Amino acid sequence: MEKLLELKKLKKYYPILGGVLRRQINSVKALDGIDLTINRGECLGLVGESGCGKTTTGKAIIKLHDPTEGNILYYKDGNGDKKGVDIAYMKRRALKKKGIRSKLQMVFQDPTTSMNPRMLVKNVIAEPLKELGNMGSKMLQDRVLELLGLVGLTRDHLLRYPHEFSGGQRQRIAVARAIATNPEFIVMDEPTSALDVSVQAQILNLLVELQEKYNLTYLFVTHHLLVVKYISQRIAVMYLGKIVEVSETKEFFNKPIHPYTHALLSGIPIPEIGMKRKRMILTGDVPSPISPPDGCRFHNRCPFVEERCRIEEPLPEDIGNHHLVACHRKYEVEKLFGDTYGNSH
Amino acid sequence: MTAILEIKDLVTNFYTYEGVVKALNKISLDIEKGVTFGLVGESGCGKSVAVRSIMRIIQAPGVVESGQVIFHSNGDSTDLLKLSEESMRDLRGNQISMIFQEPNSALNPILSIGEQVSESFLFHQKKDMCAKVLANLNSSGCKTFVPWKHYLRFIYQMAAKNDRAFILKLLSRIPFFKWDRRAKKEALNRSIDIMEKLHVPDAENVARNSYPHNLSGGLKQRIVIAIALACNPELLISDEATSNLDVTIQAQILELFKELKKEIISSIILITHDLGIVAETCERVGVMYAGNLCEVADVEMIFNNPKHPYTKVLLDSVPKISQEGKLLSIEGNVPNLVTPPPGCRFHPRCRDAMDICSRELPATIEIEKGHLVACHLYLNK
Repeated sequence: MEKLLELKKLKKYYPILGGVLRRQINSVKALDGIDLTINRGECLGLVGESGCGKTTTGKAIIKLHDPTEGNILYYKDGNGDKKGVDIAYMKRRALKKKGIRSKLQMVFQDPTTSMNPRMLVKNVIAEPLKELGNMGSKMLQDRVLELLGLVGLTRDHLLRYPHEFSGGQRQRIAVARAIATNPEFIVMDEPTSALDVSVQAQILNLLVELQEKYNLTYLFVTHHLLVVKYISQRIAVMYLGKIVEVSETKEFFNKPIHPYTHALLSGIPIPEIGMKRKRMILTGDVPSPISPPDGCRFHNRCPFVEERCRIEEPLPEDIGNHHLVACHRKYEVEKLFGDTYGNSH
Repeated sequence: MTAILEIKDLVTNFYTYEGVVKALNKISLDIEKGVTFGLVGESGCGKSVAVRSIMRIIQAPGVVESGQVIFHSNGDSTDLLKLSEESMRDLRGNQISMIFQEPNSALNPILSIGEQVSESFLFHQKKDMCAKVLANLNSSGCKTFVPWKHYLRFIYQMAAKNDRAFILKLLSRIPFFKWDRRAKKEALNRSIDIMEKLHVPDAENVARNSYPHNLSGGLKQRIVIAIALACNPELLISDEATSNLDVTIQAQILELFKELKKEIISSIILITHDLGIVAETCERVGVMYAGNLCEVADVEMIFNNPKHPYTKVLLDSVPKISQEGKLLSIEGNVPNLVTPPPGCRFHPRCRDAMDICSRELPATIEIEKGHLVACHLYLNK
């Protein structure tokens, strides 16, 4: 498989200022050294609870934030065997000049707030194209119409303001804006969480369709595991700024390893009758990312905690079949889980 | 089974500048004792409006036009829509209580957690608490300055009989005559008890020293639940209580509901748009679309054998654990309720629409025992 993006030890700390002189007194460790590879043409699901750094990862990749430490290697179209370009510390102007900016796009969570309410839809969609600056007005108009058609809207919608649309239609416009510059990679930051189930299905189908058509790569950030199951080929689980497990979607649901993944899986309410299973319900909340616990970050909520977990931080290791797990007891968890909660995933 | 709540032909309209929004269109529904009833539907279909109409907390442009909401409790039945505002206030939070969607906006940021939970005790159980304080005062263990003790005894005797007397209110506002500290203390103790029952960690400290911003989302939702459960309601209405929470926290809260249902409350109305929650926690389900109730049935029947076309597509459009292939979606959007489509409100999006659907509103019929459907497909058979 061809790599598209590679994150190496990526860190993002948000400073907390305090005192009279507004000095930095502490920091929120939103991303604390994550390693992740995104392959070309796949959809990688990124799941986890709120506040665990999912969105920060997405924003760091498309450079809405500058990371504190670490590298983001971008392998441009057609030279997969070559060394990637490190975009982590690249200046914005350089990004644009090298044509990387237009290749990395993002769709935001709430379509209501991610669009300027004073811009017409045609301007909303044309804005990224204008920024590229190589189109005449006629061409621009045609391209905008083409994009609207792609996402299932028509010419009638061109001269309207965002507030005149329903949530689903607004999200379609946001998708049209994201694919306007022919990107290779799109970060989907919970694109369906603000939508109803019936509209959610429409948007998910649209995204799958577009991915097949243009060979797009998605990073699909969400907390809804069934949505991720539907759309992604691989899933990465985050907990408190760390990636704890990466695996193929099938394996993720059939053979989860990390206790946190088990907890997430047994937490989802399944819309089917007769799926009775033992549930593993975690106690307590996610600890604060300002002072994450020592050792394994999950240890104070983990039911299978050992002495070692409290002291030493587990590193992600491949246990075969590209299945990365960061847990000290990764070979025992399955048995432990079966003993405690019954084998019924 | 006996019903705890009967809703008959409830109509609620909102008078806005754009016209009259017909949010509820003659809804009839029975909720039985001891049942968790799930109310599902897309946003804007009138789920919240329905329960708010029951509680009579519809806000300004909204008016409950007609219908009956009959609440059966201890052998009496009362029509909630005909009650005076004062007796309704006694009922809310006491016999019927509600958990709101966002714990952030449901809690008051400037009152401590303990004050907010004990508020409902002070409102509904003051007589009981005053009697308890009085018993405490009469017991030999109470050592206070004697004239003050006489004063308190006199006041609490009065309060145990009628807790809303004017003189009591007046005295509680005059310095040196303030008498209700002991009642408040008792209420705080009761709130700590209920919070412990809901597994709030370190409940005493939380009640005394914390404010809403000190707590995490899941804990805040627990506090909101504690407020709702304070007076052991017979009917609990949960309006999307878990939709803003994370999966792991949501699982905690749902487990809590199941536990509570065994012990304290008898019936729950659970409003949600997550069909997964319905499948796991509810026994009966009502499906709403654009102000109409399409289908009411037991949860197994809804999921295994849905009858109404809307229920079918709704179930198809949710990703499932055994999902293979493409998701089906409902084309089009929820209609504008100022000018709802004539006849059956679902017909413009319905796969099985017939001529009659655009002309007549289908009546609700019982096709099996306990399975109610409002659709023309089943009317003629």
